[in-house]
Amino acid sequence: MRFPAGVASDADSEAVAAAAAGSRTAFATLYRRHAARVHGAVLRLCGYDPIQAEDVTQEAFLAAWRSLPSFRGDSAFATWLYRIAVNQALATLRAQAVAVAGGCVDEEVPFEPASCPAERSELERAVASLPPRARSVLVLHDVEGWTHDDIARSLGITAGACKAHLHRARAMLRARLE
Amino acid sequence: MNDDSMSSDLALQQALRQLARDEPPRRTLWPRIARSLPPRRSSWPLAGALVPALAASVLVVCGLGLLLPMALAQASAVPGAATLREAMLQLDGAQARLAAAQRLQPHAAYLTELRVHYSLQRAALERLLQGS
Repeated sequence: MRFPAGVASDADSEAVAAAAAGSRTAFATLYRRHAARVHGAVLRLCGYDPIQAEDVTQEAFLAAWRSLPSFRGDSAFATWLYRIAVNQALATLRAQAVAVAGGCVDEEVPFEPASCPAERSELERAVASLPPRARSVLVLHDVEGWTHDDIARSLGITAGACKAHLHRARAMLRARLE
Repeated sequence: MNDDSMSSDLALQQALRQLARDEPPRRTLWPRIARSLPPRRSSWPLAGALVPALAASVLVVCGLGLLLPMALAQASAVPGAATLREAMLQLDGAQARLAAAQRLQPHAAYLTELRVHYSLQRAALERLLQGS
């Protein structure tokens, strides 16, 4: 999995310890270092919808703030934060699917495409137009560089199902680009 | 990006990989987050363990405040050895909890006073037990 290396964990450790002890200034430092990377991943998963991406990014940083006292440093802070943000985005997309299609996230079910700004590239708008499940798998695999096993764990599906979703997502993307 | 280049998976994946870039949020996001940050329960590292221990010790003290006079009254009215030993066991349990709380807050004067108070009561019970 190509998790973000981000800023070296040594550089973060002091700010992480201070933020865990309650320092908002230290947490602001961590935000400045990592917000662009986290927001980038969330924005792609949310189909370039800027409003939803900011809401998810906000929730991710709030979740990180709440969980920081229990952060043990088993992974780099950047990786830990990135996972929180991706999980938050996936949970939001799932909730959206439940609201729109009664929990079904299959490609055949009609869905409301993300409100992708017009200034985005043709490829970005095509990605944004994919159904949530297809977009999640495509973005995590082809953009973020996750393995099928990691994606399958995060989405609660099998690796085989993940490959099938990816195959279908690429076909849909190609069709939209033709 | 032309259609031909998109016709192969490889070209598509290469194009998609180019999308993996940082995207700074608007400047207004941090103030929103900062306003929503809940305060830490306490910035004192021991607080998480201390609060339950102190709460437990307060409950023990309140319980003993009610039970001990009854036990002593019962012991003086009917000086049975079993009753006295039961009261002493309760006192020993309370003392152990107070000791645990005091390890977390060694400078708490009220914990010291309580331990001394219950030590005196235990001594009184011992005297009763010896006389029974």
